[in-house]
Amino acid sequence: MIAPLEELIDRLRALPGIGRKSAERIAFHLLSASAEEATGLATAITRVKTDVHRCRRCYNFATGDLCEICANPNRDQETICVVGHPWEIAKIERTGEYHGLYHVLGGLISPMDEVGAADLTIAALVNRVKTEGTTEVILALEPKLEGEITAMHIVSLLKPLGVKISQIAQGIPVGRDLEFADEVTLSRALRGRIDL
Amino acid sequence: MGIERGDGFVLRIRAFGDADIIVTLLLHGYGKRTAIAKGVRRLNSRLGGVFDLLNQVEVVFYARDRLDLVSQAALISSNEAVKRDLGTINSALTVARFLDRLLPLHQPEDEVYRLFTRFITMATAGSGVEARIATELWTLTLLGHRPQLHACLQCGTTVGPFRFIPARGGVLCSRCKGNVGIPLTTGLARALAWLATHPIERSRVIHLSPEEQAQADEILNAYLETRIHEG
Ligand SMILES: [Zn+2]
Ligand SMILES: [Zn+2]
Repeated sequence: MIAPLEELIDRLRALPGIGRKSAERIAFHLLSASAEEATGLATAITRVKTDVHRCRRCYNFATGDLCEICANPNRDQETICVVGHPWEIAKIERTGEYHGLYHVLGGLISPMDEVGAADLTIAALVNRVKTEGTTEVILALEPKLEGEITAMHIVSLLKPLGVKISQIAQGIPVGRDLEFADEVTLSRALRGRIDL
Repeated sequence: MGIERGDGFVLRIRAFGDADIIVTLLLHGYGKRTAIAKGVRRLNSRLGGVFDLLNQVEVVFYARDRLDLVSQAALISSNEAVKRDLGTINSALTVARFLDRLLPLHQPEDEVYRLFTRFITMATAGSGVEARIATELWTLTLLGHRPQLHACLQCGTTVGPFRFIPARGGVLCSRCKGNVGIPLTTGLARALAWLATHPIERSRVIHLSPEEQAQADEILNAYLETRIHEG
């Protein structure tokens, strides 16, 4: 196969959820597509890397200084929902059950992978709770051991500050990705959260 | 490719693709096995919740060259008592990671399995760092890598200070050109030698300071690295 086509296929295959067959199908599609369609895709990919960065306050994806949620004055400014990754926010937003702010940790504490508290935005979270007048922190972390460890660590840091802390694990079975939880399950989980 | 059934512990989990995981298991009678479990991260998966770190599970799998395929799995115990406390979780995960790195694939190593079961039982009752270090030392011994910690490799003196030489798997005293390697006091060398030769259940006799614990971990990790690279 010719080199540029081979490189495209290899790069597509490196993407999550794309096997060899899908990569080939996309590559041949792009090859026969109009120049406009192909450059449109290339530009979108470039722009996502140059225009999207992390929100200064909550580490969600943002195009400005603050993300859309932090910049919205109608959100409840006293509640923070803590998630591991930015894409989990979209999932919770879709339930329409939650109207507060978020905080993205950038992962979970994982002794196996040598990810410690210092690699995450936990210090920034503690600082927000201290300075933003937060009254409740909701932990929406993956229901697996790393999520539990991270929750325990955050609770130990936030408890002394006198803030109310709760966890939404209820209803989401252990080992499943938040990503796969449907809106109904997540809504129930948000409403039925337990105090820590 | 045959169907096998075994029970054991979840040592490691990695997300794979969209909804699968690759799980490393320590199975009784089979040793370390790496298997793919399909679709378990989806909400409706039959196997969801079974494969969490440190869980005790029963699995039915298609045995293959390197990567087995999980066909059925059931939870025996999630070892909640170990997971209640950050200290015991960290100890248990450190040992799990140690085993994951040191054990070769598909070798039964039943003595190591038994040792790990004893360690988990201890961790359930809230064991200290010393039990964790003793378990790591014993694992090395069971796999034929017992480090020499009680006396200088060269002159045999039991009086330190020493330096641990990872490539030689033992300590050298300061007179025997021990100026490379990781320093340790006579006291720490004796404590580690004691832990490496007594049942892990008796490890609470020894008390290591935080500095000594850090040094012991540095020694164990450096030694582990050389053992992994040799084979
Ligand atoms: Zn924000
Ligand atoms: Zn000597």
